[in-house]
Amino acid sequence: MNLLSSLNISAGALSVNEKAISVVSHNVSNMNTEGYHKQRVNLQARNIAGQIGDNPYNQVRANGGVKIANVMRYNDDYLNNYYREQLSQKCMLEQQLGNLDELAGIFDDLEGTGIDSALSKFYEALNNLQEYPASSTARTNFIETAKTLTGLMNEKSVQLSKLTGEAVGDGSSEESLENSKIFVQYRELNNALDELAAVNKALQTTQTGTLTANNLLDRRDLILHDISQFVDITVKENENGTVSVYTGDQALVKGSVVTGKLDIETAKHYCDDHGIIYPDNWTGENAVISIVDADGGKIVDNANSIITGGALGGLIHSATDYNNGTTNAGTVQNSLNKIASTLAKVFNDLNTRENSYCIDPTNTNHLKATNDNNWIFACYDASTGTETTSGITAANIKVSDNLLTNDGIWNLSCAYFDDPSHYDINAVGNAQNVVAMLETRNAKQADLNGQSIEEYYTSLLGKIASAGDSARSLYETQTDVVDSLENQLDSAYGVDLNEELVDLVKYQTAYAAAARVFSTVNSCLDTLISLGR
Amino acid sequence: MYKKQLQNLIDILDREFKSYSDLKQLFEEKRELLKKSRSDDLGVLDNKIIALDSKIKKINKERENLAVELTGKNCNMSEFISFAEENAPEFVEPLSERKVKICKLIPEITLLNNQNVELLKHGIIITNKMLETIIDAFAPQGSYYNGAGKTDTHDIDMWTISEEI
Amino acid sequence: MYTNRISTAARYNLLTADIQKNEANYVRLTQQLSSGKKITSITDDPISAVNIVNTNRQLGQIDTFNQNTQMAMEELDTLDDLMELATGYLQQAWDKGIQANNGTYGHASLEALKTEIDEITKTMVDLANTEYNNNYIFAGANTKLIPFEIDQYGNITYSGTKQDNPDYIRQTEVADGVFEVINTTGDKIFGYYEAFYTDASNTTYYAKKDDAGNTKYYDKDGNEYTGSVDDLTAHENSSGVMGALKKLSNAIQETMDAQDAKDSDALVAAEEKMRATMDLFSESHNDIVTEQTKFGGVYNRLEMTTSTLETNTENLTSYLSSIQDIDLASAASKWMQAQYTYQASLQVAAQTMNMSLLNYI
Repeated sequence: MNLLSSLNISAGALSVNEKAISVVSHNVSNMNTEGYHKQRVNLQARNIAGQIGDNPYNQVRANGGVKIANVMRYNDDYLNNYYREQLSQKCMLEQQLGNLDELAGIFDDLEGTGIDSALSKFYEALNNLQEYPASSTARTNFIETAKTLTGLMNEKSVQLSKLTGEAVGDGSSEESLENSKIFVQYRELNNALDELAAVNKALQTTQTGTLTANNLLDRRDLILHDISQFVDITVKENENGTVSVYTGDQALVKGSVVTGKLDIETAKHYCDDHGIIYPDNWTGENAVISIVDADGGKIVDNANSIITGGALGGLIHSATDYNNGTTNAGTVQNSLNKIASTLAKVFNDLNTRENSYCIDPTNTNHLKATNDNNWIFACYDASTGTETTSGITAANIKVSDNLLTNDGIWNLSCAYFDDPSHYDINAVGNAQNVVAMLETRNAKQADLNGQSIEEYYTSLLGKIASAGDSARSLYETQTDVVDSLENQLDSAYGVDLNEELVDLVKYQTAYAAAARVFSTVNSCLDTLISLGR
Repeated sequence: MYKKQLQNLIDILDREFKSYSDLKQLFEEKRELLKKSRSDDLGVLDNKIIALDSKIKKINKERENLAVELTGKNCNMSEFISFAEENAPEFVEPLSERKVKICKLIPEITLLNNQNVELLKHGIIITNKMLETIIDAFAPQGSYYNGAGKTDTHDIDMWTISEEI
Repeated sequence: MYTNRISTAARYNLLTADIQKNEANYVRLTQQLSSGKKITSITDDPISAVNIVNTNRQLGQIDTFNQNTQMAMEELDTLDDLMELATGYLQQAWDKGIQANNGTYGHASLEALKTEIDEITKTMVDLANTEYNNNYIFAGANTKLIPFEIDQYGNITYSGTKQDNPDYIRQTEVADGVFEVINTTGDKIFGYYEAFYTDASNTTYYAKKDDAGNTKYYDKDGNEYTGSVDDLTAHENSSGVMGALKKLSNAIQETMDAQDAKDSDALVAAEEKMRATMDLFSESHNDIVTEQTKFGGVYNRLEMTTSTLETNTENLTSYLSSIQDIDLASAASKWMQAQYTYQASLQVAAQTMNMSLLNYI
């Protein structure tokens, strides 16, 4: 006979899915699952749903329905919230640190190939020029170092823009926004919000205290942790296990509905919509995050000031100069621009001032008076297609075309006569103007906070370096905090294999003992059988 | 002359039968516990069974002694009945009744016992399979290292059941 | 509180975090050892990074100053040699002048003497027109224009920057903002000579003897003066050694003329002139020696600067090395230690992973 068929046990009873061993197996198989909260059968309570009174024998005789025991899920809300806060902070610092590290990498002055050494060589060539102001070699050499210097400034500017572009887009082109880090993050955040709403919906229809509900809660907590990495949130939990998520005062998810998604656009697009001239009158970030409702209508036009934590917060504020003492790509760009414009102004003024003389290219033994357009540094005005000296930035500074022609080298004004009556057309060895140029090396510039050009650049390097250094130590500290919180969470909810094994061993021992009983009882069974013959 | 002993026999048989019925009941309980794998209660129940078992053995012994007294050897029910037919025919009827009851009880209790054996085997197999899974998943069976490099791995013994089944 | 429970996953996480920290340390030290530098990015150590940048800049500047000083010293060497030569020739001419002054020379000797003096004059002019590095040393700021010329009238003109023009200087920077002047003007050292005549309308005429020995007067365009000689006023401007040489030459000429003409008054006047030029020689000799001394002083200062610059370079270089280069010995031992720690944590991990009830059941 088929023992199993005669066992007369209802189908679900023999499956070990919904009993104590099943909980152990569920724990063990999920022990490495991210976000899994350990579950335990509450053995002391003996709370079997659907029991008939307190009589254990009545439970035993409930032959058909083996109802699911109340499976308790380990959880600690305070710990969860604290953990999310710290995780937000850590992700924000991570973005800032990455940005500052790359920023430091752009300025490789330690190897002698940075702007500082180009400036040094520039002044050295100037020194040489002062010795031999009428020598074509010295003049050519000087112009070459000037070209290297401007070229290097252009290059660093481009690298800075690229850095910003990769983080938040360049502010005007849709394509660069779509390829930026912040775009990826904002999309993932919206996906997570959708998932959370779906889980909330499922939770609304599932009974609490069941295995399915617990698994859904695990999933929900995991999504909340994910969301907190992107942006700082506050979470309000409702009774049925659904949650509402707020950032600042704005509700992003309420129950099973996503009430506020994020949308992102370029700064130019935002300015066009609001009638602001871009980029002249726009002082904000390169991308604008807004909060929209389910239909796409704007709830908050410009949410950049609300979003300060998480990876989005770290990215969006990483490239703008807020004039508050922080160092980021925006402030560095502005500082470089100041250096470029000051350099151009100082040298152009000296090269064009009255009583200074350059050399006549038709007769290189004679001096020639300089004029107002005899510039050393200039930039291209895209609208007119000609050179100008207004609006010089590190990105567009170049050596003036004036000096780049075949006879251009003679346009450098090296001679200067303090007293015009001492002027002598043959005095090509006069290098007083070059002496004045050399003096600018140590001269304090009002535009540069009262520092000389080289001092200002070095202090910029110092700012970048110490910002990167302090960001790193903040990040490391924060990582330690988050790690220890994760350990705490784990110790609260994590599966300890040893505990599970203890349970299993307990079962084994019980089985072993039960098996031994058989042999004891077998003899008296045999007696009965022989009696009945 | 055998009246008193046979009466005694019947009492003993009744007591025996009641004990075996109790045993059957305990077996039923055990079956339910095995289904639910309630290990704590299993131990308690087993103790009850063992206690009952010793009680039963005592009664068995009494019956045996009486049988030897009466017939000189240990008898089964049919032998008792034939003895009664010869010496005290008024006991044939009650003895036959009891025989029928006993015979009815035997398959039931045997069935229950076998069911319990199967359930126990099943439970043990499940538990051992789980242990297997855990061991495979958990300890990655990495190698042992000392200052000189890698040393040999060794197996972990996983059978913990004593071989009494 | 949950501090008594350590889940299996937590145990692993703690172990892994430790292993990673040790590994990171080990990797960083390896990088330092292989590059020889303690700092590879400015964020590693901001203060040291700024110090390194500043020190490198200073070293660059010192290098430039050093070069300038060397070049200046070389030019001053040349200048000194030239001035030495100049005094030599001056001495020769002076001696000859003294000889001529003792009144025993006859016409032929005087003729020979004049020729010698004129030769010395030409040599002196060539000397004054020396070029150094494509610049006329004695031209002041007019470095491309030949400073001294003898024209057809026998005038020695100087077209460099005049000594009273403060813009004659050429300088070199030997320290931050410290400039040394390394040139002087030709008119200071050598002087010049100009003789011309003006008429009533102030037109300038130069005298020249034609082949017949008659003095003719020409203006600067070469047109001959047709008026009377008596209407012309004579002017003479001279200074320095050129002046002395020319005046001596003229005086000798006048003496010869007076001897030929047997004019004893003119002879006395001419001999008087010859004697007067001796004072000129003495003065111009002083002028040159004074300049030499001045530049000698500059040269000494430059020498001192060189040794100071060298010391500064050494100090800065060793300072730079101390902040930038690793100390191989200590870095190597740190690296080995990091390696041990890393290995040890790996071993501990292997052991701990076996610690579980599994071993005891």
